[in-house]
Amino acid sequence: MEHTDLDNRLPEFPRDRLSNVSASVTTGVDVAPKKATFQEVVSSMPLRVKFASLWIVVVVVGAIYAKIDTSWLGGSLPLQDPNFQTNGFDRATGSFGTGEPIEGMSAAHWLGTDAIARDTFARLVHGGWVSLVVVVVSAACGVIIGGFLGSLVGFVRGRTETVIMATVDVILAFPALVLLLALVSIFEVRNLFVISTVIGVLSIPAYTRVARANALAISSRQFVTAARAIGTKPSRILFREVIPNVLPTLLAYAMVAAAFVVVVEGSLSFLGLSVQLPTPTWGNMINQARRDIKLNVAQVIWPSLALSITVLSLNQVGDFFQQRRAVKGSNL
Amino acid sequence: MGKVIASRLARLVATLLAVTFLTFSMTALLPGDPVNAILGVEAVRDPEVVAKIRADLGLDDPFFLRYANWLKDAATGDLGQSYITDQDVLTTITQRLPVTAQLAFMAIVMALILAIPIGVLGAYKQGKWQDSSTSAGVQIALSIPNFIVGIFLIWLFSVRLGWLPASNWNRITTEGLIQNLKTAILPASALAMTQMAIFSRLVRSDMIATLQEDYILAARSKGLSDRFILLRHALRPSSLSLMTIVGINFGALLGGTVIIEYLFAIPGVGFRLINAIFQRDIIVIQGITVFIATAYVVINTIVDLLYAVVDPRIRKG
Repeated sequence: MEHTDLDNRLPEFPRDRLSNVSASVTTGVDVAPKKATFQEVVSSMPLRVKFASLWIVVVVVGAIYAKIDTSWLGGSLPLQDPNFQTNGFDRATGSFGTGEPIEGMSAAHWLGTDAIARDTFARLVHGGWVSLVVVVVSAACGVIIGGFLGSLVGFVRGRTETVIMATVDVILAFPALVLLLALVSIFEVRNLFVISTVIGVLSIPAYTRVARANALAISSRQFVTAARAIGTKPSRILFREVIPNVLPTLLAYAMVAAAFVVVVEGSLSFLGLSVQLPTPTWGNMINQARRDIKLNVAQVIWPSLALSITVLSLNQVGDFFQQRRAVKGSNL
Repeated sequence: MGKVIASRLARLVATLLAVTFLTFSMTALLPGDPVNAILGVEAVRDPEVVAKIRADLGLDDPFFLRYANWLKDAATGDLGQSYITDQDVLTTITQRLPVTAQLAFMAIVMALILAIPIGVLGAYKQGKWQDSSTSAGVQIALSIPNFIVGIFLIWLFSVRLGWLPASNWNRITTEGLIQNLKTAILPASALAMTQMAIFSRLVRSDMIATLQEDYILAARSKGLSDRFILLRHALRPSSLSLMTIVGINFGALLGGTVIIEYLFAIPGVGFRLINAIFQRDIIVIQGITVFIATAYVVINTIVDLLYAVVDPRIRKG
């Protein structure tokens, strides 16, 4: 804040003296920013951001672990089938299971069981998978398609820009969740592919807007002008200069967007309009457990905590990376 | 000023045309014959009924002609009629709109009442414990989805304490204000939580910037009290950005009312939308979507114009 104020008042003031990052700027020449190493990034994180990152890693690893075949581990880290009813008839033993519906926490069922005696911990870990897939697909659609479109129109300008940005504005003129509901209602079968594709397509406009704004700023920088001056082909400038510099900002945005996407998918699941039952998602676990809230509030608490902590973590990490980008940008 | 209004209105018309077109073309995305989707797969196929619907909707006309006809009807308030409940879509909306509008209004007011003191406190005590603790609270409030807030409000105030009903809605007109507020306060609070967090974060950052301005220094040197400076000098510029963010957030709020109305079984526009989606009642889905999107676009234009009225710099520019 103070830096930019001073910068505005004293335009000839050597900006590199004010900067606390970006060693590359000390030459005084406007060059593309230098990349920070992984260790540098991690060590510059405040403690809460480290915890947030850790939680995200735990959820991601858990979701992937739940999805892959782990029988080769010799059952050393068992995770129950999320749809197995522990009080149901077991063909292997020829008898009924010993589980009870809405059990409390126990060694056999770490977080207890739900209304039809399914293991809550297993459902919780498996539930992360749907959120993970939706987030990854939406970020991929946004960064690849939205990032390319935004960088292109921000660099080329002209009529293409007018048309694409008008389309983007119209899609963003809808309340996001209402548009999503309307689109989702078209599909008779709602599986993970449909849900993640719809959310992915709807993510593109926001990324396009972010990418364009950044591409506009980068296109007027000295290193782009220099590239033009030495006769570099525009397509090469786009792919070698503009897009690589838009990308980090987009990835930081993707973290913040991920938090939003997790909430949106959770809301959709809660309404029963996301992936069909019995596939566990945090949203549909909350919706099912709330009917028995008088009997056992814990069954509502676990998926609610998982969802809220994930959103909080994504927000923390996203804010951290966005601030990093902003600080760098203001000092360049 | 006239020029500003004209350009904003032109943009409003263009956006509305595009938004309605997009909503209308969603029916074109439907796989197979739209009549199947409208009547439902299991419905008895009476050829007469099918022919009537085809004629009603002009399904044999080219797409753009259909859109033009539909838009003409929509502009005169005819959003069609549900083939499942036989209800007129616009009547359904107007009957339910007061409920949704009351919820949204209460949520915004509650959010502002809480957000302004929290934001001002954070800015005034910047970096101190009051600031860091409210900021942490705001971060958490921002991260809990509104339906989770709603469920735990129900658990606390209905299940455990038994003070308020867990669902349903009492209309002001028939049950009176007190009974109405008893059913409205929980859903409105659930909606207000996220909004409050967003507003107070904005007030704080805005105010921190304002407090560094020279005119605040001048007011201080005149010996005016902190309270007077905060409320009269520093808060006023923030009201502009607050107004903008209320407008921008209105879309999220409308989305939120859909979920909260479903959770609390409140007979608003959003709950009708969810039911229509469950019944695959395409005409109603289309009508409500167009209505909500139009409301959102119009409200944002009004906010834009108000902004120009309040801030003379924009009025002239």
